[in-house]
Amino acid sequence: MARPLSFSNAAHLLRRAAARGRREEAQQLAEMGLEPAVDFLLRDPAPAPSYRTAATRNERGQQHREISQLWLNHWLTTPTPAAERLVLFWHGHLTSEFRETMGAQGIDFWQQFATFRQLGYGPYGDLLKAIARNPVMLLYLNNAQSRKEHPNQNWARELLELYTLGPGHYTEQDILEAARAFTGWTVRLPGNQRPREASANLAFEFVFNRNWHDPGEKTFLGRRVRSGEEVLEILIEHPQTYLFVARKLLRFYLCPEPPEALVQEGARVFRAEGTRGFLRWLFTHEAFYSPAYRNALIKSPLEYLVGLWYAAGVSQVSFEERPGRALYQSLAAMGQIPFDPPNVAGWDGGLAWLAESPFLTRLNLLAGFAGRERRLDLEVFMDNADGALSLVKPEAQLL
Amino acid sequence: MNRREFIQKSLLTLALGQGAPSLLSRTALAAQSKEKILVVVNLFGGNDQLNTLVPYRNELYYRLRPNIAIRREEVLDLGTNGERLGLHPALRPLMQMWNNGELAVIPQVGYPNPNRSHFISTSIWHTADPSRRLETGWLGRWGDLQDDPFCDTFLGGATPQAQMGERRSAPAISSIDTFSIRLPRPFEEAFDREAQRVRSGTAEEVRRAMLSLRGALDKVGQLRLVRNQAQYPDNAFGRSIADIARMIAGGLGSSVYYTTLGGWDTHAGQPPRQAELLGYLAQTLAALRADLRAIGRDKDVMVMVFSEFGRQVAENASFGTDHGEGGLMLVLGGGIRGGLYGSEPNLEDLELNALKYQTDFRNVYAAALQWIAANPQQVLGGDFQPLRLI
Repeated sequence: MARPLSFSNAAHLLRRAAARGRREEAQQLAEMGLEPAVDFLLRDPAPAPSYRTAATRNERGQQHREISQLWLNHWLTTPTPAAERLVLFWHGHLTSEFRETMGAQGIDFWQQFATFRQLGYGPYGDLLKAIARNPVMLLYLNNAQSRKEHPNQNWARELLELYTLGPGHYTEQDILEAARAFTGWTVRLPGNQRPREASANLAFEFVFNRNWHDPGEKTFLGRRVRSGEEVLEILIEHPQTYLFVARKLLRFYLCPEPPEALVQEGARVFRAEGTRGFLRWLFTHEAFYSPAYRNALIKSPLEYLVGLWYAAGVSQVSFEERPGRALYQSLAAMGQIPFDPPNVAGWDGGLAWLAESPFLTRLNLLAGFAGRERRLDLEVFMDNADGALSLVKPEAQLL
Repeated sequence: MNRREFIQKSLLTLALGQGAPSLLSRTALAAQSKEKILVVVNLFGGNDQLNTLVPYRNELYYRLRPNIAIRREEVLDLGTNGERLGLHPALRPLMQMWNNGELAVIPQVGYPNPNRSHFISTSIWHTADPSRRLETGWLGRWGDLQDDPFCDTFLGGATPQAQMGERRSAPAISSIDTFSIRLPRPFEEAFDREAQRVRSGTAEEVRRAMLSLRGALDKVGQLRLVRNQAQYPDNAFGRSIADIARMIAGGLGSSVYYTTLGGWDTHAGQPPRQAELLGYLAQTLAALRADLRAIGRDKDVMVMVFSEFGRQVAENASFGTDHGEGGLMLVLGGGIRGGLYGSEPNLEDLELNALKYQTDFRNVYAAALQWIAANPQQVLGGDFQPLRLI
């Protein structure tokens, strides 16, 4: 039998899981009871709209605004918003920067998000294998150009440091050997079309270039390997991978400094049951509802924007015309542009969002709500809401 | 409320002039007496030393970098004082300073047991602690000892670790002109009311951020009428440095200004990218010097430029370079003793394809701290002989 779920706890759950909600949705979750409510939130993601552009391959700025708009509008309207907050997590974890990924198009980034959506709830190993072959990632971390004569170490390094083990669990030599193993993992356009002549709607695909690959034996974390696949297998078997990523998930879903016992337990669940299992464990855990972890996180700009716009009944943002263009610029000023984290480590988050200039930009967005107070439903957006002026309370910044 | 919270709160209250106006005016007086200013520029991503300060008389350099080496005939010769080295051609705007003895070039700066992760190495430079025990920044620890919330300022999105102390962190201002509150009056009044109501937990941290924002709004608002006297490149970095010049001219009173220029992680296609960035850097710093000369402050400002590491020596297959160890620092200003603080790199004595470090960055920091009349030993927690830059 389902455990009871109070309205107040349902609002907390919805805000954390999806960063988006209104009173009647929290009510509905409360009526379901805890476990069914969690399963309801974590159901398979609704498909996102497909992306096509009239822009050329050189008009990347336009493509970037288009996919950003497409994603935010999807997050605002999808019946499965929890999947989109998880996409944001994967995007900040298995990062790629649009600005820094020369050659990759809007369509390539949109397909990377589709991978996050499709595999995001499943076993981490499956997601990692897909991302290792993801054209955006291969281009972003320069593995697409890595050849046996001079392996490029960028992907190998970040794979170990940021995506799996974390610092302190490997040597510089391991990075070098892993880089050798991944030589030849590259991309092409279908039918070997030339980028210069291709449509911007044509996505890159993964290809293994045997001539660029170093087939020799490598020693990686003390084991003999030859291929990139073997390197990935070792990392996927490694318990440290699950500790490292589970801690990061807890930072995103629970609090900035999760207690060690929860990290250990979370890592076990994450490894055994994948991300959905991990989230189900966390969202049904008593600790998740304890006062210590309520209002413990600071909304990122995207979470703030989606949550507030949804609370105001807005279902469409447009970045192509004024005043939408100003909104897109505000995202930059607040420090979070979709598809463009500041660097390969993703967004710092936490109090950094509330440094003077980014915080001010956020507050200035509220000017657009003056006079529209009656249409705001802030029950899920924040605790202690009491009319539109509550949006300047500290609680409005919390998740 | 614990001690740290108490101090933080009382500092803010004082700073905002709600408790003791006398301290506020004392701080204002103190600000006027602060003559020396440090401007720190963090090149994020790991700038390649070898193509910035080029060993262009070394054959091995050209053999190891057949595709990306800077051509001999393009290098800016540093003359007899620069040994056998020259600067990247995009640094031409800095040559006048070199010739005047106002540009210090410090090759192969690093620290023991180098770490090639961007984030760990950056953190080591920011905390000035290679053992990675400290979490506060070196300038943050200095800031903790000041009684002025504007003793240092960050130009950009979010304050870096270098400027985070136990008790305070530098305000982050991305631009003077956009830094104003544009809310209907009832919202602004409610904001000020909410900022006065003490909370607990994360909500209290948000409230402090609100207080800090309010203080910054009041202070920075006064600078909007100050104009630059020089032309800066029209990009984010140029605009940040232009704002630093306005802050200095307008009497914001910070002793330290900090900003960043990213994009140096040149694993692929390095030559055009690095040239572009070095160009921005040099043009902007030259504009700053001109601006400071126009207001008679040139001799009061030290500019210090660093990156988290240099890059590897042999190029990779994608016309780029991977993460290395020892990297280049630049220090410049009208009151600086210029010259080369080191020697030509030994390309035959490498550590996993990288230049070994020669000078500990904390010796350079010590000189910077000396410049702003801080106690290097107190801030760095060790005895680091200041490089003789002053």
